Amino acid sequence: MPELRNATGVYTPPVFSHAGIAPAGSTVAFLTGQVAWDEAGKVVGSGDIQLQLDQTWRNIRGVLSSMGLAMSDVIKLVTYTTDPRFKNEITAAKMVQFSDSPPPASTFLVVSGLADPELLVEIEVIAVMSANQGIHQS
Amino acid sequence: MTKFAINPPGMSAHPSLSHAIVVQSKRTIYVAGQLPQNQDGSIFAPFDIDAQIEKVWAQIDLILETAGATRDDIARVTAYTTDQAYCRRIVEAREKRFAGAIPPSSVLIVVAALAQQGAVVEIDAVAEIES
Repeated sequence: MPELRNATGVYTPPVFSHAGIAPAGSTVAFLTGQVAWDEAGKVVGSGDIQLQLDQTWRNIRGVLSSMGLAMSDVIKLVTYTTDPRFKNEITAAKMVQFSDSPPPASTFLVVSGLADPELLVEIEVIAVMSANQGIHQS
Repeated sequence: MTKFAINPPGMSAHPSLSHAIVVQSKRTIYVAGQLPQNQDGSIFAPFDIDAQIEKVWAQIDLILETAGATRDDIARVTAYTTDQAYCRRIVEAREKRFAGAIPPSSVLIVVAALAQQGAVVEIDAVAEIES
């Protein structure tokens, strides 16, 4: 299991941890930044941040579970969005995803564009699997 | 600890960074992107790049200490800033911080905005430790 740490003397919001630690013997998985694409590569929820967040997290969970991983194995997120006004929706969606486990270390950025002009958000994930979890290859 | 920098001949070298870091470690620490924040979450020294860089590094030091690491254990840093004019200051600050040590592999990105108004720099770091 990953460790999440918070330092005293640094502002500590409930929505992320200051550091995520990959313990000795663990394997680290770097996920490609996930966006609101369906299986055919079509954008789900054009212009709708909520629908895009739902699809993005569905994709993240899909990739994690294909490796036998869960949200509690995530240690770091980087979120890219095209508009700072989406911050509240993005944070709320993250809190739903991490309602059963502590939130990972996070970075939040506003960018001038993503890979497809219809995309409003992209989330990159780093997760750890313990030595005995192994990688499930198909 | 086995840690060394890769700086191939024929590539431009700079004292603020290594082109790659190779390190044998037991644990990896991913530090959340640090905004210059006061304890109440408000932005420290709004729009003051030099004060914000100092504050962000102080926060990273505190977090690393809590995780059992120090600045010398940093293998990689990514800095995000809202204005290209600040890049030189960020690089100079990093050079100063890693003087006499192995500077981390580094990324510097100009973004459209950060999470809070008034913040002009955010830095995240990855550290590797042997215990």
